[in-house]
Amino acid sequence: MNPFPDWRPRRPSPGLRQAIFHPTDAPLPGAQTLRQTPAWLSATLVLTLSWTGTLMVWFHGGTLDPATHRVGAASDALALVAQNSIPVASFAFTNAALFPSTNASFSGPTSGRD
Amino acid sequence: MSPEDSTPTAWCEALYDAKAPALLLYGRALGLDTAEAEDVLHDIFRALLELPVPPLEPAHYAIRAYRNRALNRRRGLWRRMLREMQSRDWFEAPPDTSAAERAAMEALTRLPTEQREAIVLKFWHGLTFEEIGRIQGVSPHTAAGRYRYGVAALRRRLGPLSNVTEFPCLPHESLP
Repeated sequence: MNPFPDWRPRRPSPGLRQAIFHPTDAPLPGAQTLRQTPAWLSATLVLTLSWTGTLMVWFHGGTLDPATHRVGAASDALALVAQNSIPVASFAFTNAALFPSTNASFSGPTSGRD
Repeated sequence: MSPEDSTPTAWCEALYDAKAPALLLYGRALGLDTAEAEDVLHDIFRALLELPVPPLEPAHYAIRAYRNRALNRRRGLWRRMLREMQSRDWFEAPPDTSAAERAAMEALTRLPTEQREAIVLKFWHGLTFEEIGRIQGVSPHTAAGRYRYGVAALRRRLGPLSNVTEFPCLPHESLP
């Protein structure tokens, strides 16, 4: 007999049950956190420092799901600005788990235009 | 629910609903942090779903499978630090939990692994010492000894508190 009947073990995170038994359904936020890599992590994060002193951060590539679509749209706009400015330095970080060979590359100073 | 009920996975979902919190607690007793304990829970239930037929004793099978996977987890410094930081969240303690009970919960988390494992299997999984011994790979007598040492250590650590509060009595159970 359990002498601690009021000591209730913590329940699993919401979404874990669905991740186990209904993995093909639309994932709940909790399940996504636990089991799936967010799609935007497959993108490359680029930091560009321009001559005007502006630091721009934007994503390049990757597949953005609906939840991160707005981030992607804003990032695309900023990328356009960044590519039309004259950078001092540009750093690109890619998710090491997905692309280990291209992680944290460095380029710059460059002309700012390809 | 019997294995023959309704859908092919109904037995497994029923097992999850009945045992998932206790298995998470078991994972914590084995030294996993919260995320690791949930990962192992996910893995063993996915593996259970892959079985062609349900095991004869699904609850015991799940405990054994959980233990095997839990002991295979990597144990780096960062993980140990995380576990230490999370040592107080094994239970869903209601707001009115007494100081003595909180101290007891914490004392349980600080017992040696084999002792707290025996206590969790005894109290929250309802296993006999013989069953605990089979899982731990020791004799029933050794399993009972681990349980008793653990309970005695809890008593020692809570001695001053247990004299002044309504700390629940710990069981005196005869050896098998």
